[in-house]
Amino acid sequence: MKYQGLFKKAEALYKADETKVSEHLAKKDKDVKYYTTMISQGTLSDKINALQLLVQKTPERSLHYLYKLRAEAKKKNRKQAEIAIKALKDLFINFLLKDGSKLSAFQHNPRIEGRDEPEIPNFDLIDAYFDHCIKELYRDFIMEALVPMSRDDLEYFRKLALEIMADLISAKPEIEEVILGLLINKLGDGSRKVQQHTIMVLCKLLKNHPVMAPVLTSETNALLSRPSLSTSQKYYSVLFLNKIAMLSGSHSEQTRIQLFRVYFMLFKQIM
Amino acid sequence: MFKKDRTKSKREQLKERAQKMKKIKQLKHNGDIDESDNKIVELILKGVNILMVSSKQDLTIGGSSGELRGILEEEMNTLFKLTHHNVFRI
Repeated sequence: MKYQGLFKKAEALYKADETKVSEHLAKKDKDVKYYTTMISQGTLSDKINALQLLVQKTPERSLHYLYKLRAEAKKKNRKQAEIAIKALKDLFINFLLKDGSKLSAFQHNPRIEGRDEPEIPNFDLIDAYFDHCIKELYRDFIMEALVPMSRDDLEYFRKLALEIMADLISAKPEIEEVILGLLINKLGDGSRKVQQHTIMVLCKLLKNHPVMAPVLTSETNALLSRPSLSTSQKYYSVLFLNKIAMLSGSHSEQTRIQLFRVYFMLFKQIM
Repeated sequence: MFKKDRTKSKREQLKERAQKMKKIKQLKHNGDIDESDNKIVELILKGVNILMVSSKQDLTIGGSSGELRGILEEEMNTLFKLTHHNVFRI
C-alpha cells in the first residue's frame, strides 16, 4: 500500500517533469521542432528516426516517445517492426540500460526501499520511477516484440531476432537469464539454417564473454534433458557443447568438469 | 524410423523390421551403442576427445583438482567401453 501511493506520486512528478522538459525543448531547440514535424508528416522510417533522435536528446525524460517506438515494434508488419526494433535496440544499448548492474523495480530501488515517504526527495522518486518503467519496457520489448519475431515464418526474421538478442545480452546484463534461455531454445528450431545460425551467434557471445561458458553449458544441458527432443535438436545441442569445449575447455577447469558430466550423462542415456 | 520399400512384399518388410528391432534390443542389452544411428554419439565422442586433450596436461602434471580426476575414475567403465568400441574408438 505504501509503495502504491509512492508510485502514483512518482508517476505524477515524472509526467509533469517530462512535459516541462519537452515544452522547453520545443521552444528552444530547432531540431526538436523539425523532429516533431517529421513524426506527424514523415514516412514511417522518418517517424522512427525522429523518435529515436528525440529520445537521444533527453533519454531520461522521454518515456512517451519510447512507448510510441514500442507500439511500432509490436506491429504485425514485420518490415515496419524491424526498423523500430533496431532503433530500440540501439537506444537500450547506448542510452537506457546500465552497464554493470541491473535496473531495480520501484519497490526494490535502493533510493526508495526502507525509507519513509517524507525522507525521499522528488528527484529520487522520479529516478526510481524511470528505472522501473525502463525495466518493464525492456522486458516487454523482449517478450512482445523479439519473441514473436523469433517465431516468425520467415527464417530471415528468426535469424534477425537471434542477432538482436545476442547483441543485447552481450552489451548489458539486464534480464540476461531470460534472453539466454530464449537463445538456447532456438537450438531446437525447426529449420537447420536457424539452428546453425543460433550456434554461430552463441559462439560469438562466448568469445566476447568467456565467463558465460558454465551458464551456457547448464542451459544446453537443461534443453537436452527435455523429453521428446528430436534427433536434429539433440544433434545441434551437442554440436554447441563441442563448440564450448573448443572455445573454453582449455581455459576453465570448471567448464571441463561440467561438460564431462553432461557427456557421460548423454552416454548413459543412449547406452 | 522404417521407410516403406515398394519393391518388397509386406511380409518381407515386416520380417526385416523385426530382425532390425531384435538387433537393436540385443545391442541395448549388451550395453553397446547402435552403430546405425550414431551421428550424436560421434559428436559426443569428439567432445570427450577435445576435453581429454585439453585436460591432459592437468592430469599428467597433477595440477588438476581432485574433482576432474574423480569423474574420470568414476566413468572409467564407460571410457573403457568407448575405447574398445568397434566404431568409435577414442
